[in-house]
Amino acid sequence: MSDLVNKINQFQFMLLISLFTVGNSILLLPELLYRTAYHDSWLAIIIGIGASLLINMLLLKLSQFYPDLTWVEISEKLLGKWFGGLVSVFMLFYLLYGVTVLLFLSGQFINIEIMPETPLVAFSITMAVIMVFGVRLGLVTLGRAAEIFFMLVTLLFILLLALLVPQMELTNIKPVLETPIKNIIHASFVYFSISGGPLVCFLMILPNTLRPNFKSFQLGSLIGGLFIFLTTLTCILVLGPNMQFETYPSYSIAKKVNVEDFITRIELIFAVIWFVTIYYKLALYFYATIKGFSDLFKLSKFTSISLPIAIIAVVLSTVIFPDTAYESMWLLTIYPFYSFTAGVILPILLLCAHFIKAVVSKLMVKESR
Amino acid sequence: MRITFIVILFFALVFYELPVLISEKRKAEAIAFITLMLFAFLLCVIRQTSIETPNPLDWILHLYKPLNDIFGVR
Repeated sequence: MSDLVNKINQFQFMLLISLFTVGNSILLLPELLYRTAYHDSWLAIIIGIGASLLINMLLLKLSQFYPDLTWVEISEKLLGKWFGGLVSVFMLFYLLYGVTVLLFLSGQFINIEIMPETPLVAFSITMAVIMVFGVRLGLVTLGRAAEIFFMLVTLLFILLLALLVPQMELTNIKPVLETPIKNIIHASFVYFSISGGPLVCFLMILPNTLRPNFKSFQLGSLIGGLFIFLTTLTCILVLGPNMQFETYPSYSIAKKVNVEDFITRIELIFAVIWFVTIYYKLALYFYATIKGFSDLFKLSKFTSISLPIAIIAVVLSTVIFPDTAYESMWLLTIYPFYSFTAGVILPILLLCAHFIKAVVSKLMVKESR
Repeated sequence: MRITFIVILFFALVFYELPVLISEKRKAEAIAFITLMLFAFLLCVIRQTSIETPNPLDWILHLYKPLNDIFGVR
């Protein structure tokens, strides 16, 4: 019975993954990708989705060997107390970094587009308060709320795309494959680092899922990727070369909606989609962070350290990006490597350790006979 | 003025969280909570005074700079 109370089911798990994948990427990625891959960034997203589906298989394989253990416990079991602890600390810094950046980005968007005179940190604090509130209520509550919110997000998204169809011009994506292949690979790397790599934090959530399987993980990731793909494609089709002047292209296409001068200025619909998705990304990141910390220090009630960690994240969010030049430099050049280390190399390391351990123990059994 | 506000906020949060942990006899959680809270308080005070707060992203940047130079994206 207690298992049923504390665990989310397949469907909720799938929705959580797709909301997590959409996350802040729906606002951030069209602009970031356009800087490297220009009007071919939709191709980069397809490559990126393929890459993240491959990595999901890796993560799921790892969790199937240890269905009841979180990332921190797996690394401690496989790599020993000290080296495993080091790997976990690296991972926890990665997760805390994720919380911090998302708090900053949520404040930045509202500060630039909606309320320019209020200081940025006010929105970060508001977001942090509801984040702590959601995580303290538990994963099951988040999962059930996701069922409602996902429907809202999908409906609004389809409405927005449908209203934008008259503005699209196919000439904007021609000629296809004009940009060098190196730039497209770089752009898909950026997509992977923001949407695919952070999925590693689901290794903290998988033990709280009822019978996680291949299908729901991949389908969730695919649906999330499809959202970003459609958004980016619409941005390119509607804005064309004007995309380079926009800070938030996907927000400004929503401003362009105009149906017979009757339905206009519905950009806040887009903001609602973004609020829901970034909230879910933030809450799941934060859940993984405090769960990881409490597993590392062997605490049984993980919500007890939620308040101090949230305060640390809010304070750090005011210092991490001193200006926008630093921000885009960081997100385009350094962060892909950082995300790749945490999201791909470390899981591969753990899988290798698992197989080596299995082979060694088989040999030991043979010798003892 | 701001420091006073920070102190009041931290006292309020500690009085909200700590009595529950003590009454449930969770010693490890209480110690972790207080340690992290002290660290968070220190961070807040450093941010409010004129001392420059260290940026953790700069450390990671130094760690990954060589990799970026090798693969030469951008």
